[in-house]
Amino acid sequence: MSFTSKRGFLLYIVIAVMFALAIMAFALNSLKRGAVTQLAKNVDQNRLSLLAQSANAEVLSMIRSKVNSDPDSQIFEKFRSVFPSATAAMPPLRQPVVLFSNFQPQQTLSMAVNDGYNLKIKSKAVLTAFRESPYNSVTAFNGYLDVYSQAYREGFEENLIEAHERRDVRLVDLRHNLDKYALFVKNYCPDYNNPRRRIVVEGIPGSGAHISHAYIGNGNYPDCSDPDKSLWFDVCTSELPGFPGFNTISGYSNTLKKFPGSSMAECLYSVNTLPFSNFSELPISLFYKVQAVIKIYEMFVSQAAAGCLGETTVVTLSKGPLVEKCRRGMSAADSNSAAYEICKDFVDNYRDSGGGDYSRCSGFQKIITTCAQEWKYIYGYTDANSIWKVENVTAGGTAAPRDWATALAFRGLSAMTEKFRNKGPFVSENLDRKDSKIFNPERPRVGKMAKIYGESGDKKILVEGPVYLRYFKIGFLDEFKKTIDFYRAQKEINPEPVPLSFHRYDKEPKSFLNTRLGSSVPAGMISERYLMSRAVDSVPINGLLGNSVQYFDGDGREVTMNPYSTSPNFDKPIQKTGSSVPGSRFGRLIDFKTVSWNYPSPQQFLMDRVSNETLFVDGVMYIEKGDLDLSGVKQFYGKGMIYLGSGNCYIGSLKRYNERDHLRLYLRSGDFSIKSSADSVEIQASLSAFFYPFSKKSQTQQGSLLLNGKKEVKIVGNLLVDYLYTSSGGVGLADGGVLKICHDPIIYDPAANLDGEDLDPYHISIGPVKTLFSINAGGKTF
Amino acid sequence: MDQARWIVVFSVIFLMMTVLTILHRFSVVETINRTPIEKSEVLEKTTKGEKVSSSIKHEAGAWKSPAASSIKYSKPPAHVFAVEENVSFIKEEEVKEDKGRILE
Repeated sequence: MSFTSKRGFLLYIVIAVMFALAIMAFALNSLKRGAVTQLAKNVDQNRLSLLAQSANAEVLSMIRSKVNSDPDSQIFEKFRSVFPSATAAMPPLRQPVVLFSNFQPQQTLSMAVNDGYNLKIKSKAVLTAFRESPYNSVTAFNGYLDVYSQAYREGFEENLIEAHERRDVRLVDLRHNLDKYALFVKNYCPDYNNPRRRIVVEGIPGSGAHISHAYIGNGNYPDCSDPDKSLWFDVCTSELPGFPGFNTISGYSNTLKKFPGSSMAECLYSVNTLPFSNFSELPISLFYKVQAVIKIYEMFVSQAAAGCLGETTVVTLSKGPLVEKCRRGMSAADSNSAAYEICKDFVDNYRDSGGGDYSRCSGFQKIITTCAQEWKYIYGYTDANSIWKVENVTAGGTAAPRDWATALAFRGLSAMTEKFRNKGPFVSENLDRKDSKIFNPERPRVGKMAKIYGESGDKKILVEGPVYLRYFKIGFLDEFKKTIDFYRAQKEINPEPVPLSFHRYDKEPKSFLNTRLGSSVPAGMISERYLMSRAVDSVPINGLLGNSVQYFDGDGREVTMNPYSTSPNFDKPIQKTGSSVPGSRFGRLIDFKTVSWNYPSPQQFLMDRVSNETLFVDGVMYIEKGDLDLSGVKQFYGKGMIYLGSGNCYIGSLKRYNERDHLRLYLRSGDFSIKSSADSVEIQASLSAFFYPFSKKSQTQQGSLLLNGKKEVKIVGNLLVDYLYTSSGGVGLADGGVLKICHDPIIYDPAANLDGEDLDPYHISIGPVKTLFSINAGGKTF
Repeated sequence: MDQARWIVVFSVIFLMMTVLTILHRFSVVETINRTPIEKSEVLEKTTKGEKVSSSIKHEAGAWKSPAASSIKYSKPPAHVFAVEENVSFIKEEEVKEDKGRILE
């Protein structure tokens, strides 16, 4: 029988095959829910895991972009809620701050949707600050930022993946106590009056108690016997600041004067004349050695002796030789003649002691009594620049006097005679030895004071430290003519002017020059207690601001001070009540745990943070040791501080990229050194070089700014150093050079409002490394 | 092979293809949702932070002191008035010995 003859066989085959296929279809459909489903789920989980991580990265990127540069954002605000504010106390540590909890990262979402994947995703970010800096002067926190992203496919919420990662966060308040100083120099500097290498300090445009400060210290003052180791700033008439203080102190009425009858240029702030009789408390005996009086008497006696001897030419003699001549004259003359009486009076009463004593001679007494009745005490005040040629000041700080100051009457400070070592009384007296030491070699440094009130003299600055303004008084007893009855003859007395030379206050025995007067001489703010020419140097420099200066005291209160009431105004830098830290021990601490970036060497730092001559600043950055060469960097971007543990910093012109950027450079043990091919350099940064450990004695362990012969160095920020020499060999300024320090208002107050925009004093750094990472399948934390 | 067997073979193939096509057609097909995405939380503006291209040179200008009228200072915070005693510097030095040493 053939195949085709079997009926139903074909149908049977077809049905059997269809049945088999149906079974296979049914089986495949069921299997999907088993291993196939599991396979699909694994694939989906991997995809969701990647998307969640992508979302985290997107969220972090967004936070990074807003946290320091978008003040209108909640993120910006919430990060800063960690810090205490004027209106709210600091929240407790470890209290989570939820930045947002239902954010959809758009880029990740679009990426998934564009690929046909119906993704649902949301993110949450939480900031937790867990540690605060232990230092009172540093407000900084350690924290961490937790970012969570939940992702699932629409319709399959049970297959949710949550990715969580954590990053370290550093939150720092960049403000510091030292920001209020435009200039802080711990140690003595001999160049504050240097007229050829000037220092200019331009304070902030102040308001109320907001005023720039300067601390001028006297650490490492040259060894000398003077107990007063202050600093004296020589005012310069042509550069007087525009504040009323100087006129109040000196009596200056903005019109310069000159001594009456002289040919000098008008350079005196005031001229005063008083009759000598005002000084009755000074016994006349103090004036017995006045040469002008002695010369008159010797001339009269010589004339008498010559007359006795019949000589027609009179040679003026003195002391012993005059006694001899008088004796010869007496033996030849009539004993009833006036000449005989004059000679007899001289011979009988002259004493050889003390270099020649005429005081018992009645003729001498007559002359000196007349002088005491006729003398006028004239004195005037002027600046150092008017008395000395300060433009030619020597390395020792002294200078030759101007021509008018060498005239007999006016050389009370500048008599270039052998008696004063050809340097003048003011210099000579201070270079005298006392207790085997030079008295004070720094007092005679005359010149023009640093322009601490800005180029135009209109920027207030409050100076802390033992700093006084200085100008000079020149006094003399003026000549006069008077005819007197001298031994029955009318004689005209015309003593020459008596310059009242400077005599150190402490020298003994006291003369009429340095005897303190009991009754004061009316003269503006300064009560003249001495007749002699002298430096007026007891008024604190802040007196130039007037009698009322407002500032923040050490406790943060707005107070007002009268600079004339205490001296010095501030012996130490202003600080809290009860604190007495000397200026030599000021510095800036950093909390190493809140440093954003750490580098073992400057080379690594530069490799990491400098690109195309631009330095990218991000919070507090610490470099352990090495010399940091920033001379190749022209600008910086961002806010923060570079703290160099050990090493010098070479720097040329450096400017900020944005107006709001600011940079602080702090050297813990090193110097700043200007390195640039240009003669003028501008550095827009705060420069601090306070050597630690604080060392007063060692000359090498001091931080400074080496100017390396530049013509102009301008610092926009502030300058805080241990010492500052502008004229020290090749490391100072070029001749005629200027160091200008402009106190940047943004450094002074990083939270100020500038042009209607509040500045941000904080900086937040978010670490690049994940310190915690987890993928959670199926569970939700939010 | 005779005609009948060829019919069987081709029938099987045809039926398998039919069944598989039917199975594929009824499997889950993902539909592309083109509706706009609604944000559940908007974080203010989405302006990005300022970017500085490292390849662009910016000529920073000379600094000018702001006018007094354009600047208003804030009340200084408490920590700005703090002056550290020497003991704090000693403590910092001690911490520096540990935290200040950077491992390369």
